[in-house]
Amino acid sequence: MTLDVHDLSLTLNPDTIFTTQALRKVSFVLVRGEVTAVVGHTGSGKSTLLQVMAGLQVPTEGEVILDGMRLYERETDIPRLRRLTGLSFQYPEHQFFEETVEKELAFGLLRRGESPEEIIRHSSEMMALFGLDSSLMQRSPFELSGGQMRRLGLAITFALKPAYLLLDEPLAGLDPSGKRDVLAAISVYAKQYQAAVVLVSHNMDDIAEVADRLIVLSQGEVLLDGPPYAVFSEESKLATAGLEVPQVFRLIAELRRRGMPLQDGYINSNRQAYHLVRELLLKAKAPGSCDPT
Amino acid sequence: MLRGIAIGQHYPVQSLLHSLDPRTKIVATLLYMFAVFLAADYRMLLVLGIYSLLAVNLANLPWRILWAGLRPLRWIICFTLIIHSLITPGGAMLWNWWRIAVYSEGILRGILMSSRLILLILTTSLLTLTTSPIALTDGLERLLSIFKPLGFPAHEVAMMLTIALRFIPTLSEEGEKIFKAQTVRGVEFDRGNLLQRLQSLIPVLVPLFIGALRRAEDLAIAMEARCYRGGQGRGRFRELTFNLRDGVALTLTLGVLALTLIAKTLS
Ligand SMILES: Nc1ncnc2c1ncn2[C@@H]1O[C@H](COP(=O)(O)OP(=O)(O)O)[C@@H](O)[C@H]1O
Ligand SMILES: [Mg+2]
Repeated sequence: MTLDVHDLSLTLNPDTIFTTQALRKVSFVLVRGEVTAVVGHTGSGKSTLLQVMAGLQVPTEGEVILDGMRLYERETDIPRLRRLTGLSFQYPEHQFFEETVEKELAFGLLRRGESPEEIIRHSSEMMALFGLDSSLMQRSPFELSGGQMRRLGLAITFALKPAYLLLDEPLAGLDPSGKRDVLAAISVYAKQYQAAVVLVSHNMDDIAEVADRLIVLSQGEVLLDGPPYAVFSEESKLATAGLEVPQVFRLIAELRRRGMPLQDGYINSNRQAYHLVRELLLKAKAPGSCDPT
Repeated sequence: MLRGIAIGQHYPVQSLLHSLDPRTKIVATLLYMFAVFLAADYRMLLVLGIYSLLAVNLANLPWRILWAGLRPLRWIICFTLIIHSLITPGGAMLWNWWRIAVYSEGILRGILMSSRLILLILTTSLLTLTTSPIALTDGLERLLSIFKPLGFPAHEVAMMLTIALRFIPTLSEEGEKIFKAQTVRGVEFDRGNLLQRLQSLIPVLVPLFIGALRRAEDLAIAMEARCYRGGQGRGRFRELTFNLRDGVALTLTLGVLALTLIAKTLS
């Protein structure tokens, strides 16, 4: 039960001056239950990659294999593909068209032929996951606040319960509390439904929290692929891709350089790093404790 | 596949045709279209065809781009060919079945009509491909200001056109994105009867219109913030210049038009 991406290459607008090599020999395997963050500078091919994975953009070369099913073949089972994958584009709130929040949530589920009870169950489950009050159900989606709109936009895709959930820049333009809520929803969803979640971002600080794995794209190529601590230790490589290591990880690297014995993988998220630093500071205050500098 | 390139969108390369004054290209295109409508026999169309091949040659464009302009209209071109073949009598009968007969005159006429269409599409897309939208509307504004004394709002019309041209690629990209997003939500655009297919467009059209209105409002505010007050007293960054090559291009086009007129009156 994996999503295999094998040697994907994609050339857009061949034989014209607008030619772009959007993807170059991209390969990786996604496992269910894991949150993978795809990071990269603007134009590095993140959005294009998600569309190829969701069966929306035929690659020039390479293949996508979804739970053993090859995509972009004559025999590809399209309804199965749609059931297994969910893709939320950047600014999902720009696709609203229904009169009420309830109808907007139900739209995809209706298309799939779910029963009314199931639709209500899935919808309210996702409203709760995103901290949206059920009293909003009868409101127009256009009357919601910006943060609520984004949460609804994402909930629409979550409500389809895809095993492979692909999210393009879900955090773009959100305030810190909005980001926290969305990231929490992503973590919970991946664990609860054993789903592979891919989230695209160009901000390293945001994703350090939730990602089990980081894939760094640079000019359509996979530059780095691994757990966050491993990727974040490649500061110079990341710099070539125009990316910055999150503040806390720079601090950790500095501590290690000054002789602090920290194991690989001991720190994997901003929160863990925060607790470590706090502990160190508390220790530093106590008389006779070791001085980290 | 051409992604993100709207049909007839400016294709910025270096060429003789690109370097012509936009006014020259607009006037020449109009004259040429007039000639295409006048040309009634295939010899004249051949001359016009050679003229436009020459222009294409001087434009340094890949065939793929020109073909992209013709492709959406290929069925209309075929339809023209077939209808004219079926309804025009005269000449030798080539094929007969029940009350349907195809005559040689009909075939000739069908070819004539569809080549007219092809030439028209080719030259108009040549104009937009070799001229940037700004140059195009600049040229248009200058040409239309001839009618200003009659109260024609030349600047306003040109500004509207500039904005429309500017947003064609943006909206087509946005439309494609929404189309894909609704596909993922399970909309099947190519299933069902005509009514069902039209209904399946609602989830695309509503967000597209809302997006267009949002953009329009943003643009209006941005223009006002920069003190846009219409055309009065506006200077311009790029001055248009009419060169020798513009004179040559116009003379050549006028020559072709004159030839067509002579052929028309003689026959
Ligand atoms: N519609 C399009 N037409 C032409 N090129 C495109 C289009 N969309 C993206 N590209 C090109 O493909 C590359 C990858 O783009 P994209 O996947 O959108 O990057 P990202 O999401 O990482 O910012 C870029 O070089 C971009 O210019
Ligand atoms: Mg993107």
